[in-house]
Amino acid sequence: MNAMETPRPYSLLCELTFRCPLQCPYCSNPVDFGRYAEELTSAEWERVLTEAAALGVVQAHFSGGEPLVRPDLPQIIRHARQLGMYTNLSTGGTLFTESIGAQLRAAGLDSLQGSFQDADAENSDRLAGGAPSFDKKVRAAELARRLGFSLTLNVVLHRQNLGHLEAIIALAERLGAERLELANSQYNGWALKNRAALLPSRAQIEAAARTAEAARLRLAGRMQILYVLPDYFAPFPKACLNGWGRVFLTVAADGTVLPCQTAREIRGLKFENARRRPLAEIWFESEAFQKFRGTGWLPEPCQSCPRKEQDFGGCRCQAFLLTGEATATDPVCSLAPRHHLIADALAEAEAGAAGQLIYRNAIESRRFEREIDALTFPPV
Amino acid sequence: MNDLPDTARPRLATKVRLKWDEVRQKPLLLFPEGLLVLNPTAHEIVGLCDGERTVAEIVKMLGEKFQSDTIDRDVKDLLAKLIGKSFVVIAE
Repeated sequence: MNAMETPRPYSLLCELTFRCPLQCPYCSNPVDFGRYAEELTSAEWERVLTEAAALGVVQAHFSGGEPLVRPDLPQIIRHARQLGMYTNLSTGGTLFTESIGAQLRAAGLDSLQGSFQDADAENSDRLAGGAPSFDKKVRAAELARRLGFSLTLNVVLHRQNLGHLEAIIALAERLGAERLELANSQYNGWALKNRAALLPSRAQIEAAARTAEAARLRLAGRMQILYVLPDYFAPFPKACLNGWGRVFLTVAADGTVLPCQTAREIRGLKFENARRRPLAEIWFESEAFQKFRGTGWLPEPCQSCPRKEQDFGGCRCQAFLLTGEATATDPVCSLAPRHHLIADALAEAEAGAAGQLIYRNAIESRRFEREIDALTFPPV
Repeated sequence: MNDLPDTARPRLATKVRLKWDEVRQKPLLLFPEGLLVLNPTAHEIVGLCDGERTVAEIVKMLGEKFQSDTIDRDVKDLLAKLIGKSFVVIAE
């Protein structure tokens, strides 16, 4: 695929920081996030956004870690808005104040998304780890509504909270959310480390889908409900981010430019940094972005599969993490040679939860860093 | 789904923004979870949804512009779809 045919990205995820007061055990940050602590400056983020706009990005998503730990967040969002981008902020909410909320409104923030871990303080605080956070989140959501934000609640679903879905929906209603995003955990990174404790049974998934659908109909016109099915329970993989290097890119806290936020789990694949090379060059020319772009690289059974333009062989990170080979068919596909890896995990989940939660924090991150450094990975 | 009354005054939801994409030279509808690339008719319709104009007024303006017999249905079908996705709301 040459540069003439290469699509331009619509969407940029800015992971402004890996610092976070929460310790959610399914966090999408790298398991060894501690080593990527040298954050881009305000001026560097503004340059990244300017380059992204020229490249075709029209939507900027700001997340972390907790993006509110950065005092320059309103300034960065204002810059994105001045470039004509749609801006979306994902926050845990615990650091949200009247003053920061007013600054974000003034900066032109289009969409605010607040995470909840569960429907009540006891369960939510247990899942989020660290200091109690639930009550602060509720106050932040109320404040956001008062300030006139269009509020989305994000809840990651898994074995330990799927049974509380009715109460989670009631919480979103009570807080006056305009949208409720119910995304089942994706088992990469921290969630994969905690899979035995988080992966639900099929009965749980089916009951939750019915609950979500009933609420979607009941609340139509008042609150929009998005329910994202987990790929482990589907016959075919997801079109991860609509294809590698096709519509989406991530710039991580340290400036590393990634096709998706978990891509650096694919050890052996070299990613470039926005500090050292223009974003457009990285998008069009870097090895990492070209590696899995399009369908030419696909192995069998994907190459001769009629679905290959729909799902592009699934998630590269998942393929690598589960099989050790980034070029393998995503094992969640029922046609994948190594689908048994998923079937085995599901069978264990049917037998019940196992294992303690490993919380996403600096100590565990250091431990994973040492584990990873003790291994060698061949180039992809 | 043609129960949209002629007197309704549609507008974009707060979270939704219409944007002209300079890089691709296309109209886009932007919202939290993604975007839609609009066709020229959809662009015209959405561009008129300001919470002031009624559906009947939008139909009349576009009917004159496009000389089309089906514009009433086209406008109402599109608005019903966008209302279903919570991208368009009816102004109170």
